[in-house]
Amino acid sequence: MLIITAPGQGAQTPGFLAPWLEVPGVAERLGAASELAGLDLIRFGTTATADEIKDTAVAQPLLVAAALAAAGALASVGAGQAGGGPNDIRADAAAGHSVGELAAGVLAGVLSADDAVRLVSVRGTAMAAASAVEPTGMTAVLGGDEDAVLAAVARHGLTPANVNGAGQIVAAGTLADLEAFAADPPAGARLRPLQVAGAFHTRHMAPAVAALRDAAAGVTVTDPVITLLSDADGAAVTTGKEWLERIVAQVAAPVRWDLCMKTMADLGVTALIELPPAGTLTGLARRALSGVVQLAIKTPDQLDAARDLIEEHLSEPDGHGHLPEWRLIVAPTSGTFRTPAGRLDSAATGAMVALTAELGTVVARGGQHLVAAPWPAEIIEWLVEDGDPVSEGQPLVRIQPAGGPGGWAPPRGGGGGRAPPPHRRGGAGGGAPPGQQGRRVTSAVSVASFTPFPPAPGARIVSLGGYQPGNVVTNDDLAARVDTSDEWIRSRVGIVSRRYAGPDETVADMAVVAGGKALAGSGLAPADIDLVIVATCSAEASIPNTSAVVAHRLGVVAPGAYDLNAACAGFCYALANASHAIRAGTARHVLVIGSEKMTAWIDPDDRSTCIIFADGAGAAVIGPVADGEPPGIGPVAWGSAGDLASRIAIPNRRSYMYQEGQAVFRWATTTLHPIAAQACERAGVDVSDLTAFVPHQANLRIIEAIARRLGVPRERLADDIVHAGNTSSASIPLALSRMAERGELKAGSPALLLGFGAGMCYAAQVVTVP
Amino acid sequence: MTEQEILAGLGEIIEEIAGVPADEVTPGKSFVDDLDIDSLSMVEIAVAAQDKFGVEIPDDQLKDLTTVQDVVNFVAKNAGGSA
Repeated sequence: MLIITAPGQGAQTPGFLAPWLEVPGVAERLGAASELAGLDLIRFGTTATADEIKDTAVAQPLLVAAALAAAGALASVGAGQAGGGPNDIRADAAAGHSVGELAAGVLAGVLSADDAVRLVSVRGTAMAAASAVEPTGMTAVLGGDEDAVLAAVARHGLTPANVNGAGQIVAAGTLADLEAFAADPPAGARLRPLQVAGAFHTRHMAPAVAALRDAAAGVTVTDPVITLLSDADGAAVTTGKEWLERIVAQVAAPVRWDLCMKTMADLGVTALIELPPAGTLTGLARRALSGVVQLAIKTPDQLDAARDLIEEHLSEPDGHGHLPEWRLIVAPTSGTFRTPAGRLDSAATGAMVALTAELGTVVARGGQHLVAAPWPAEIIEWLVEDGDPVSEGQPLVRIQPAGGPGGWAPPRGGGGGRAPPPHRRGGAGGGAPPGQQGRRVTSAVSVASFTPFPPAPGARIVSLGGYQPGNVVTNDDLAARVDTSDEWIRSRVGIVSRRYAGPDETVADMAVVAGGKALAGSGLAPADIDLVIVATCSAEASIPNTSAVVAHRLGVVAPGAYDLNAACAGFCYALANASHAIRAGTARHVLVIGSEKMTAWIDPDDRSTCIIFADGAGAAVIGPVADGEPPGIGPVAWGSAGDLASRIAIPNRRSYMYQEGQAVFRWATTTLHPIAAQACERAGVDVSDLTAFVPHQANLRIIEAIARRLGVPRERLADDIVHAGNTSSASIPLALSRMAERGELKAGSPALLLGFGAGMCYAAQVVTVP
Repeated sequence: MTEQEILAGLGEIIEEIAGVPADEVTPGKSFVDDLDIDSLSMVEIAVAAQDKFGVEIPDDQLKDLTTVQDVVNFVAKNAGGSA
């Protein structure tokens, strides 16, 4: 894996650009940049003195223009050709130190080279102005114990403006404080004052932030096409908008190059190239990234060696070193899906569609809703056909945003896609198999991979999603067929209406919609999910399991996948397993879905069951908590009572469900509240602290009784059953999702979940509401 | 425990679970017909009675207890033996 880096201020030396002027295209690019910056950059890079290029208002545009000109030369097809531009450079990742970040942004396709030069001119001028406000400066601190150095820096009222790794920290602040610091240096450290006029990357630069923000407003950005690291925390930036916001804030915030290098190590970077004026970053990498091949491009003589290094270390033949990043286009509303008017078939699989190309419409009662392509893309797979009824949020088609050398046509006005997540590598690093050289891999079917993660201190619910089929069934509907009444059902069970899935609607179908919604709300890409668990006891097929099928339909690549059957306790069991996997490091993000088509197993003429059970799905994306944060999913209290196994059963796959209502009622209302109380205790939460109690929505009378015994006030009891019925393992996530949508849940507060049902199985845990 | 005490205790339980005022819980009344208490509430009452009087009323015997007096008699008969 190859990363290209651009250095920051301090790297420039008099005449460093001279050898580059002979390279075709470089002089022209520097000339164009000079016009935009209002400075004679060629003179500054060749004949100007050290003092002249020390001025940050000059140094910054000079560095960015130089890096981009050299990158353009590097991207050229061969020596003697001036065809390529910096956007065409082939790399897996890019990063820049301080002002170098602007060049890195261009390399990643976020903004144009011209915009970068315009922006850096403002940055340079603004920072020079901010430096003039009061006497400030920066001093490099080399060696010593890092903690002791940071403490000493803080003690003197200075900021660690650069934490560069390899024992190098730059302290910045007022000259007076720097003098005091120099007089009392940390043990074992050597101090070297830097030739800069101000305390960059500290609060002293606040006036520059405002100026830069104004300039940034006029810049068009699109999402990065390669992994792009941010100096703020070493993380990969996911959108162009995010990158721009960080760039603006970064002038007053410390540069964490140490974290950037840590990310490079995590990514598995094998080679690092530094653009001119090179030397600083490769020097740091030599000490902090062992085993990584470095190349500091100081003169054009090294361009060929750089091209060789790129060929050798790029992880994908087309130069975009990330897994094919599918996007799901989902239905904007419920209705009927129609392919584009005037064509018999919608764009066929494999076809390329342009930005805003019409993919179809959803015809709903209120009108027609256009489904358009948010990027130029290739159609990977249609998930619906013309005339299919669709629900809001239902995946319609899987597309792959277009990419490739020269092939990227960024949408105007900001992008919509996501950069690849940095840790998912999948597949072998060696490129496509023979015969497929140069062809983009568009299917993940051939990928088998597993990436372990470090153990996490805990897990949390990141987002929720729910789905109810469109067919509403009221108590009166049921009373028309069996001997019951609306009043009887309301008083005995508490249900007013419930939903039935369509005759061809499957457990997997419903799981895909709920899962897709949770995924969409999580801010993660499908490829970020490492494990999919579907809790269900009503899946149509015993094999293949629902989870593998659902994962594939959602575009999740090679996750762990298993179904979990603990009947109505399924979701809580699955949630506990998700938390365990994340804590153990077996997964980082888990998609947990409860999905049931109970009506497939219920005798429509048996009034003891047909009035209770219903269909639906609920989902949650689970992720890790950060170090130092408390777990967002408490330890589970679970168990079973196999001696009562005969109380609720679907004895074989051809028969209907039966249950001994009275016995189940008695068991549920008497034995479960101690388990629930224990879950609270294990989580260190008092029952009175709970803002919601969300038990399996078995029967309103049962859960009211449990709540009473537990000491939970009625208004904090989830009663989603009223308009959802008993959807077995879907009931808890569906209730959570619907309550969240209605604003009934208090984010950040503890809620108690309690699943219980056939087996008899039960499980309870306290969760933090997302 | 006297029948008076059992009746009073039962009245408290029924008021809490079914919302029927305790003074309306008189011996001759039928749960279903007079007090409008359904079978699920009966289970809850039986469980509460077990907590209060230490007498277990299994489901199969519960269905035969149709009036308040039936329950009082059952509790009185079985109160002596259990803890």
